[in-house]
Amino acid sequence: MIVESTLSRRKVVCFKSNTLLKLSSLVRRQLGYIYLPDLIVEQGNADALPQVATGEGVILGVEKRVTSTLLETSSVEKIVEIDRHIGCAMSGLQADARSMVEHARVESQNHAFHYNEPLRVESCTQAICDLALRFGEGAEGEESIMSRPFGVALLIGGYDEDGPQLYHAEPSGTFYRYDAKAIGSGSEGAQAELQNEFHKSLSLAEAETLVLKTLKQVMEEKLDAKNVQLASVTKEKGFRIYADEEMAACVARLPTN
Amino acid sequence: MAALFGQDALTDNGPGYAFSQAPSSAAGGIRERSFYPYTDNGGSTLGIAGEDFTILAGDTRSTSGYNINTRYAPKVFKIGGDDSEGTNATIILSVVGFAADGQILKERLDTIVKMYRYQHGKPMSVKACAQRLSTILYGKRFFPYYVHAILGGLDEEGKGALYSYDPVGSYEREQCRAGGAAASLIMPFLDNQVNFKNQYVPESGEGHALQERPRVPLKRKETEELVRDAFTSAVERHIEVGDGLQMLVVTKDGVEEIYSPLKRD
Amino acid sequence: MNHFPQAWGRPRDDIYGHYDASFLQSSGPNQHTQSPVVTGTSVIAVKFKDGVVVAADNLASYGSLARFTDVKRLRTFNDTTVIGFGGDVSDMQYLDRVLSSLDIKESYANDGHHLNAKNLHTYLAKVLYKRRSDFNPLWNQLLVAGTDDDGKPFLSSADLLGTTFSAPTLATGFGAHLAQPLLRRIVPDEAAVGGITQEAAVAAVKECMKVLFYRDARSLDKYSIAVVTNEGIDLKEDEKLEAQSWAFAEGIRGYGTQVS
Repeated sequence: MIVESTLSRRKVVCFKSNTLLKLSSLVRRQLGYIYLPDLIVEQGNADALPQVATGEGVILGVEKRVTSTLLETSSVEKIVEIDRHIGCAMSGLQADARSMVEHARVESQNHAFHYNEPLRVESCTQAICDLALRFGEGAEGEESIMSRPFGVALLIGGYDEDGPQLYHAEPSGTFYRYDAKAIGSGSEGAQAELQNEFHKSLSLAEAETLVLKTLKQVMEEKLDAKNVQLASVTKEKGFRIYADEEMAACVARLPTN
Repeated sequence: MAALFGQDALTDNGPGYAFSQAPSSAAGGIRERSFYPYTDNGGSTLGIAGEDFTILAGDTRSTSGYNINTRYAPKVFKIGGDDSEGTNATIILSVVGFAADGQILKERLDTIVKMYRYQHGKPMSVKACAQRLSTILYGKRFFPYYVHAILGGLDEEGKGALYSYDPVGSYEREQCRAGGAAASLIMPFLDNQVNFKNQYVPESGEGHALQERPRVPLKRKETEELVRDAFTSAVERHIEVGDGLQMLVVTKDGVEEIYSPLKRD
Repeated sequence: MNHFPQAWGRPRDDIYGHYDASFLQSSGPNQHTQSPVVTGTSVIAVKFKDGVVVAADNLASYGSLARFTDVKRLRTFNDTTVIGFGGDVSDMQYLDRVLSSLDIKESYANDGHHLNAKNLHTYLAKVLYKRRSDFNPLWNQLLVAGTDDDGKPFLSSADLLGTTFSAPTLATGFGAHLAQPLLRRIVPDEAAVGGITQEAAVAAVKECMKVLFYRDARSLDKYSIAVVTNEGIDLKEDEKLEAQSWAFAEGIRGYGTQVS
């Protein structure tokens, strides 16, 4: 009801199944802003996103949930490039992620323009998280630029002078660095799997397998080369989304059970 | 009344007070401005990059026309140190030209380098600082900082790094550069003594067969002497240069400051 | 009789031609100060071992007209700093108001912290630089005298372009030509400051004021002099030049009636 009273029709249609907006309007009015982001994290999202940082690079993996046989799977874009050396995977409202990624891209290019060096992965993550609390009107009554907080969590993988790094950016604006992290709907199970299997000397190929294995465990559908997506960030090749053939090869390497 | 206030055909609108008339020749449109926002405070700077050090030097005289403002106004600064004294700085900057712009430029770069450290959790490299200085200068392309800036430090490999700029941000990494009033006096000397221009291996041939004297990295001691010679010579021939010589030397151990007097005439 | 007050007091057009009212037009580009109008001449200052002596005469000129003969060009700030103004008098008065409001604003904090001469000099230099960058300069050169963070004598200059410099002796305007060399003979460098007594500094400054009155046509024999130390400010605003001797004038050759 609150949704209807405060938002345009178009928006209601867009997010009809999501309780997020109700929460945001409600909380904004009754609880204050600060509690809200936690609630969003709790909302949970469609897919598991296990990611692993190894010595050679970072592997990002996502499940592309095929909700219809008529869906063109290549149009599901949940891993995106921020810069040559930074990529990110998302879980939650993908439309929100677009504006965050756009911001990160601009920030990264600006840094390269001003300083003639790539932006550090942590600085990039911080730049994204700086956006998180820009919702609502300002303390001095400034016009609001965002009506509600972001409803998406990001896993940001990159390679800089400190080697490969993986960050988890929450919608609340806090972020942590991980060796391996899973977020999204099956994240509890996936994280437990990563906890058991991860070790510091993982090779890139082993990391690919670990990511796929973890995904496989928490996915409802049967994992194949079409409904998962991998990407890597390495020193030599930078950010790279795996092509269909590479995906097929990686999936083929998975132990069958 | 019309006669009294010269109410004429030009402006026959209402009462004839003088200022409602159309402005005569001095139109309210464009006027020539006589305020010129720049001045030249004279002085000269020079920088030399060595194998594992970089020296930036400048005289300490500040002038306005034929007047000496002061005999001690530093032109070489530490950038991005921990405090106002520049403790633990690893980058140095010299500015010569319009002193007020130079001062502001130095302060801006200094705060940017400090903020960079907070934001990115690492000290800024000279390479990054060099690029940033260029964008600062270019940012005022249409109201430039009227200065010739030289930036010094050590690169990622620990080698001496020196970058020189024009007032609007064009820049280049070089082995040596002189700037300011006596630049044209000092630069040829540096070409010959640092880059061994016009020096050839004796008996190595005739004409095109002549072999250039191979360049060797300069030692710290001889570089300092080179700088001092350059300035004592410049003082002799340029009235805006003199009073004192300030040198900042960056090595892996930090920045060392050396002051020595110059002629005060 | 003209019934429009706006027209009263204007020169008659039939005699003087059109009154050039272009400066009254409110449309068109903003007009900024392009040259100073009512001006003060030199300010001179010298450091001594415990503080600084500053002096400036009490004249405000309108071109070559000695327009106001009782203008105080040394202004004090919270009993620690003296600022000597050269250049446009109205801009000086504006800056004085800026400083008064700064003083009030700082006093609200009531934390026992006070801006010293060095702080004030930095502030004024930024104001001047900002105004020159807006092409709307405050047409002054000023000397700021007092003590720094360590209580040591502080003396520094700032001008309409935002240029700043510091020296043991400073002088603006004509003083830069006539007084500065004399003062430098007494205090050649920073090291010499420690050996200069207050009496010696005051005597040197007074001598310079005399030389300036002899040779600067836009000067006056009435002047203000201030001694600023850690103990406070001793400001005298109604001094007369003493022991003038115009005997030297006899010997001058080369212009006027004595051509050779």
